[in-house]
Amino acid sequence: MTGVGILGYGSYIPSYRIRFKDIRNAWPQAGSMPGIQEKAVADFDEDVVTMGVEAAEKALAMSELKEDQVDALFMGTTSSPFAEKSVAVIVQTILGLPKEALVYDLNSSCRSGSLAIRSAIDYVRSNNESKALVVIADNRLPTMATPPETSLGAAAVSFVVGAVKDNKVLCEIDGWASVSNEHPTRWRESGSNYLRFHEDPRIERDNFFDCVKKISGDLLKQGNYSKEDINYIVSSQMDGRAAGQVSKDTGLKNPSDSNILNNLVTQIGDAGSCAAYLNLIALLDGAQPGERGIVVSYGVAAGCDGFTFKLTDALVEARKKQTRTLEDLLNDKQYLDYVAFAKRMGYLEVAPILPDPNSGYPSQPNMKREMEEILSLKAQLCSKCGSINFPKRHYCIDCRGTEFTTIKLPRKAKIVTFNIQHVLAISPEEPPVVVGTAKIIGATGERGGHVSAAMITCDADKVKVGTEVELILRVCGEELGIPKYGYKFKPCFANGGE
Amino acid sequence: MRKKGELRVALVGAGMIRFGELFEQSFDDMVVEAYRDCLNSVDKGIDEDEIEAAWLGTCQGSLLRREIVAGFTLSEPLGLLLKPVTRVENACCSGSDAIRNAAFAVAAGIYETVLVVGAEKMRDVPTRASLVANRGITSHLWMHPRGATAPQVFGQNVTAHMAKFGTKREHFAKVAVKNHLYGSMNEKSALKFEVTLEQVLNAPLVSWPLGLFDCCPTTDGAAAVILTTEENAKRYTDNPVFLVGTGISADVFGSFWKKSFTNWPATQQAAKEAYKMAGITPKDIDVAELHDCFSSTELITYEDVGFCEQGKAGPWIDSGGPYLEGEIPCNLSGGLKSKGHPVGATGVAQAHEIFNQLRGKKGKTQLKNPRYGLTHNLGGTGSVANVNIYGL
Repeated sequence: MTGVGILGYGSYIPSYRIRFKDIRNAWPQAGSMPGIQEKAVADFDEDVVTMGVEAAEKALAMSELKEDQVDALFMGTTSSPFAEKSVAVIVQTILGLPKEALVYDLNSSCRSGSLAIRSAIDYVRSNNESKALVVIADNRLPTMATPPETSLGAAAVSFVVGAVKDNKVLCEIDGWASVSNEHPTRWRESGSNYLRFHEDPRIERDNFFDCVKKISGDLLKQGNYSKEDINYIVSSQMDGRAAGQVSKDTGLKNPSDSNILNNLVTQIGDAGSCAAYLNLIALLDGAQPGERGIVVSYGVAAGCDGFTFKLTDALVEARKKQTRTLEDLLNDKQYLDYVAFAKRMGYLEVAPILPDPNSGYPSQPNMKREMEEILSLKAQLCSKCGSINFPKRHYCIDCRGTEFTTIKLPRKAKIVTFNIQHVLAISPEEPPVVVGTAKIIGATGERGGHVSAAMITCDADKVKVGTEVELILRVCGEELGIPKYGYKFKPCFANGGE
Repeated sequence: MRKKGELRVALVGAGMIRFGELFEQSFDDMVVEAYRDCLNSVDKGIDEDEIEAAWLGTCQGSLLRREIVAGFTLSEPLGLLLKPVTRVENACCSGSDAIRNAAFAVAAGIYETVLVVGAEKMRDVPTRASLVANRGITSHLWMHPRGATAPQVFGQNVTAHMAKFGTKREHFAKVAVKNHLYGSMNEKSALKFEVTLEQVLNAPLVSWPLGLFDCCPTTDGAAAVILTTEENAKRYTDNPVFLVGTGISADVFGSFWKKSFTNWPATQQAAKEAYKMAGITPKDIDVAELHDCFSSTELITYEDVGFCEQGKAGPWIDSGGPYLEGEIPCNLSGGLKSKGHPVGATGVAQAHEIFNQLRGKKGKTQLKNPRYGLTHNLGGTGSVANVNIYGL
């Protein structure tokens, strides 16, 4: 006896579905996971945080717990949007839980869900009167054209866990069993978004059933139960055949035989960390007080965790509080075609909109307009005052004259002023870089005939007002992958300088 | 009857928030706090319904690439709904130009009592993307080199000034030391600490000849003032301050079109216009808030606003001219250097400083009976300048 139980539960399933046949049409030879007709797909704007929060709000509402009464949050997921950064803290912040609450992320395998529950049990056992929130969400992305593409689904569940002596507990957790198992049949290497899969599903199936059998056996022994004492077994399901096979292997009853919803994998796919607990929630919605069950959660290449539980009288009132049940979520669905699904899996990527809002460069047409005159150094010589205007203008900068002849800008100039840049925007250039303004030698205008540019790598300390420079063509930068050609100053230290 | 070119519009309230890295405050939070501080500063109180129109000075769109910054950017947070609100963006002159345009509306007799708010959120971008490190938003990578940062485009002038007049780094380092000293006495200052001449000269270089302590900090902030007619001012206070002169001048943005690198013609022109409107000369100014975005900018501005002769800014600070006890004390608020420079808020915060100085409320930095105070802004690359003159 753990003395700990569930005070409230909630679930979330995205409303999009993709049908198995649509995936098979796209990849006829890719193989499949048997018995899965369709699966739930997270939309662009759904992830483990949004789904987890939806489920958690329902669990908190059922338990009638206020946000500030939650002492700990344990979040289990394999599909965090971050390799490093807590998503549990994001969920904590969104739900408005106390900042002092103990908050854990459990990641890395589909055992993260069962380990989140175990963490909550241990926390409540060691902190009397405390309440812990468990949030489990998964949205694993399959590698395209592999069998898991037909099976991996998105969903979330949440439980509020507290002490049994609080008579609001609707499901008492009696015993716990774990087994670990290194078995590399599914994995996602660092830096990848997509789950890989060992091509022979037999290896995984054998391991899964061995683990579930061992856990259920251990739990029966531990609680000194006979098979008849246990009304149901629910578990993770890798495919549509799993539930039946589990029942057969363990000799325990499949809830489906009592017309209780089970085998959710056939409708929403394999929801990873929360798969077993979706089936548990279906059972909580359909079973009777006094009944006992076993739930076993499997994490590929990690192992299995399971617990025995007993439903209490409190369950009847608690589940009436639900405004949307798991069954409602299953029935609320719309279908995607394969292309729409592929976009949501990130298989089809779209180039960013131009101009890139971060580039600082106004627009592509602007670049085109100015390219020719800047690069070919086309300058205008004012017909009225003789001032050189570069780049082109409508009114002469010195006399407002409007008639010009086009000339090639002379390339020799003298530095009028400059700075030595020790701080630059992040760029390949190595500071210090001299940046300044020079007057074209022989130019007559007061304002006209100046050019501003950076200097090529040189000894900055030798640059003086009056140093002679030459305009030379260089790559002056890069934006959106386009090299930006322009002119830089090449100093000629032998000539000039004050 | 007012003659053409004469101006006398009353300031009856001025408020601001403490500038700084205000990560916890949104743009709206800052605007509301400055607005409330301004309302509370009105001696006899003010009914908010008496505010008929408002002007908002901010560069928020360009600096943060926030889309559509307009009148509603002010009316929405303040809840001053369906009133006429005009948004003014004119680089570092945005706040002062907002005051100028609001004053014109009052002087024209269109509105009686109006509000001006200046506000800017600058620290929402990392320092590497700030004006100090990044090229200016409007600069062009093909024409302007990558290194054309704010300290570079302003710093070009001091390099030329050094070459022509023998000005030394010590001269503008003194500006930084002075402004930090006065800023340490200002409760609204972002950097409330003193620095020594050695610290300024030995600080890491940003854009030679400018070092770290020659540059103002990138800060968030907001400030607000209430303007009204001379007649109406009596309802709010027995001690109004008046805007009596204003000038603004727009020159060129591109460094390659500039006429001079040893002064800023735009400042000279704006000052000329403002002095003429006020009917006074630089000698009449008792206190000034100058645009020390960089210490060297303040130094050269002494010349451009006529506090000393061309080329003599170095000797003028050496002789004590801009200090508290000097000829024309400059930036007794700590200036942009110590107080901070949230672009759109800066001109309004300068008006806040002069408002309090002319009303005798500056405590440790209070002057004896000052009569005229001047504010100055220089924006873009030194391409737009504003001078406002306040008097009693």
